[in-house]
Amino acid sequence: MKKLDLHIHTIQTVSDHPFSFSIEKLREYVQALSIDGIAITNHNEFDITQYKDIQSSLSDICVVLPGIEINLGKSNFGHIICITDQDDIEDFSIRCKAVQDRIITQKNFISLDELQQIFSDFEKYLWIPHYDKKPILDADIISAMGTCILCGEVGSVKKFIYRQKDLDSLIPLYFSDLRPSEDLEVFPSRQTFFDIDEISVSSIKKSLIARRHVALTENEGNELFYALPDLPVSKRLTVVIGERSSGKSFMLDQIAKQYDNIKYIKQFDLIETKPEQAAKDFTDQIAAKRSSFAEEYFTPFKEAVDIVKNIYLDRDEKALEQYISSLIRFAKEADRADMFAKCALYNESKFPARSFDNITKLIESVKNLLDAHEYRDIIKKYVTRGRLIDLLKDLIYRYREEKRRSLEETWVNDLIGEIKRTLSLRTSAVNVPDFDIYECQMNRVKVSKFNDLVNTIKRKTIINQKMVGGFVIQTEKRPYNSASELKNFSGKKNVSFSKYMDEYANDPYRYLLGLVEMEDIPETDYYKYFVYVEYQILNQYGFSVSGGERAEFRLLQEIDDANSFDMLLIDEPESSFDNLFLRDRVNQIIHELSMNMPVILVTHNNTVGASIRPDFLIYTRRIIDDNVTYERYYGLPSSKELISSTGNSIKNFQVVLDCLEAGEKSYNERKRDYDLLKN
Amino acid sequence: MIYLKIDSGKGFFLDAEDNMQEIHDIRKEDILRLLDLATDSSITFEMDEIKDGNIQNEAHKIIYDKIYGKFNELLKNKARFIDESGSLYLDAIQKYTDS
Repeated sequence: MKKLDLHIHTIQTVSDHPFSFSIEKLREYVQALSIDGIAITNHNEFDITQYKDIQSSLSDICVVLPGIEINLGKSNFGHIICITDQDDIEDFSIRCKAVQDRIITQKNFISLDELQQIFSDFEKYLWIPHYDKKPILDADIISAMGTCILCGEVGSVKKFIYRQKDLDSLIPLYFSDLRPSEDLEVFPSRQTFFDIDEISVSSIKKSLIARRHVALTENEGNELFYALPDLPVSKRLTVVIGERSSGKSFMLDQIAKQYDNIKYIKQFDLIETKPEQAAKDFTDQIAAKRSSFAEEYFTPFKEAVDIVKNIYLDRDEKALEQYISSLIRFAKEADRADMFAKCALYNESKFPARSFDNITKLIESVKNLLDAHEYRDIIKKYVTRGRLIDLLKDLIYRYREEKRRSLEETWVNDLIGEIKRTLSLRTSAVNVPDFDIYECQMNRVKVSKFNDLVNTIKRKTIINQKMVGGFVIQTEKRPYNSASELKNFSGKKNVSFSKYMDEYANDPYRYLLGLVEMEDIPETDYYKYFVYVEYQILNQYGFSVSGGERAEFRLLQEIDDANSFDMLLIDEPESSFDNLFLRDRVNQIIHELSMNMPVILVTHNNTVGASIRPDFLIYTRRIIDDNVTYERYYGLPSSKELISSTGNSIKNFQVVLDCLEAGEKSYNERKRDYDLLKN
Repeated sequence: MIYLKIDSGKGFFLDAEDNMQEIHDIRKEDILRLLDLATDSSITFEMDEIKDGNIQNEAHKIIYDKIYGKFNELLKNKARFIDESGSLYLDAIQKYTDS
């Protein structure tokens, strides 16, 4: 097996953040991690002189392959690495220059056609696209390159595991993407082992015929990977045991520094020091997490508020009064009307505005039916595609016709408006203003419905209950109890709700107008001031949770969240919880999670450590000589001995008894006591 | 064909029954109908031009002048409303007609 890192940057290009390359650091990295081969893959550039320098500096410790990382795409781009053999650098350099000339800024990229022109014989090179790593190369390009692409780079161990299991995927490779600079402190353990004897493009390509030829560790196939340069862990569940102060948390800290997207639940993280504040924070957290549900629930109400907040019934009433009084005056003076006022257009009303909501909704619905894939068979059973297309066309033609008519009516309205204005300048007759009785009546109906809606929505009701690991998150709505509760909710100092409380209770529309007058309340939040949404966490018996239960719930939530991360680290969950909870709930969830991602769990507790049945075991020990050092032993739980990276070994059985059962003697005593109790 | 006419110092329009009516009786529905005729490419829409002093009735003058001006402007681009409404859902029609 050869350990390779085929993705390393040594030049700061326009696509890189600032760094200053250090050959000494690169040498240190290769040596510290015992890497057999690397590839120099700068963004859109191959510097032949620098490559030769690096190759000669590292020739005693590893093979250095020439390569380039190219921006390749169609409308947007992804990255692809191209690697060639050492004896090809002159020709490779010329081709890479053609890439460099085309990519001046970090947004430039080349097309597949251009790539083909530049490199002509794809078969000659090793191509590694960004496959499950950003920026991902377009899948169409990958398929267009066909068998020239055998593997793809991934961005985490979790993705490596996923792609390795998925036989339809490209073979995953995991590299450092390192920029070795003077200030680099932590060396990443992101390399891939290849089942090859010599390091060349052709031998690497040959190994990529089968997935089993690549792995994240040297010996254990695809079960392990290096979490730290000298520490293998399981791709599933690793348990870390050891006495107090033996460097377990230190080890987790080190691992956390190595990777970007890690969920790390630290020791005592979930213990509450100030219970009252903790209870409030907890409710706020839940509220924040569940607010998207409430928002969705209240969307129709919010839409109603948005409509009604623009209705001014008082204004409508005034306009109506003015209309009627001028109409009466006009009627009285009709016989005295002059020739301007006698024109039909003088009192002509305008064409009312047309609404296209219904027809556009219908068109969209038919389009949805036509575009549906999932339930197409059911749709086809009742209506043929041809009939649906005819229906769609008819609706669209009707829509166009109505739209055209609407445009024409607007045109006529403008003309009438102009004529009326000019006539009214010349007449002494009463001018009857335009008044839309239909709209006025619609506004009254809308307000009345709105009031009914608010009265319904204000009723105290549980609107949602969600089960989370034995707890129930209950969302309840109820009316606000007082002006001060409204003020507290607003979180604003300069607002007062007291003068609107009568309206709040009896006239929701007037209350809404009151909100509109309060400048400090954002328009988009008006709907929130009608009903209060309360969140409660109840335990399995339906009671509010205690402090301990809150911690349990938070742990379950944290673990639940872990799914979106690449790795989960948990430090001594037993510090906050009782054994039954750990055994019944936590162990089960951790097991499920570890099916898809690496989980590393530090524990002293036999309930966690032993009954969780880990896939890999690490034992840490503190050695005090002149300095304090930590030694780490590791192995499968079934191994008789655990070994260290320096080759020392220790008995597994003894370690487990010492760390989890307080030694063999205590274990035997306890066992005897339990046997006595039992009998 | 003449749709807007000036005669004896007054303005007239052709109503739905093809009778010339005095322009002070024109309603919005009449204007809309004339608009349809004016934008119909198969019809030659003609109007008498309003000039200094050829309409003496002041009310007629106001109405005729405004209508004449607006229609005159429209006749330069008869397809205006069709262009604006005819492109609605053009993509959808093409997509499903081809499929």
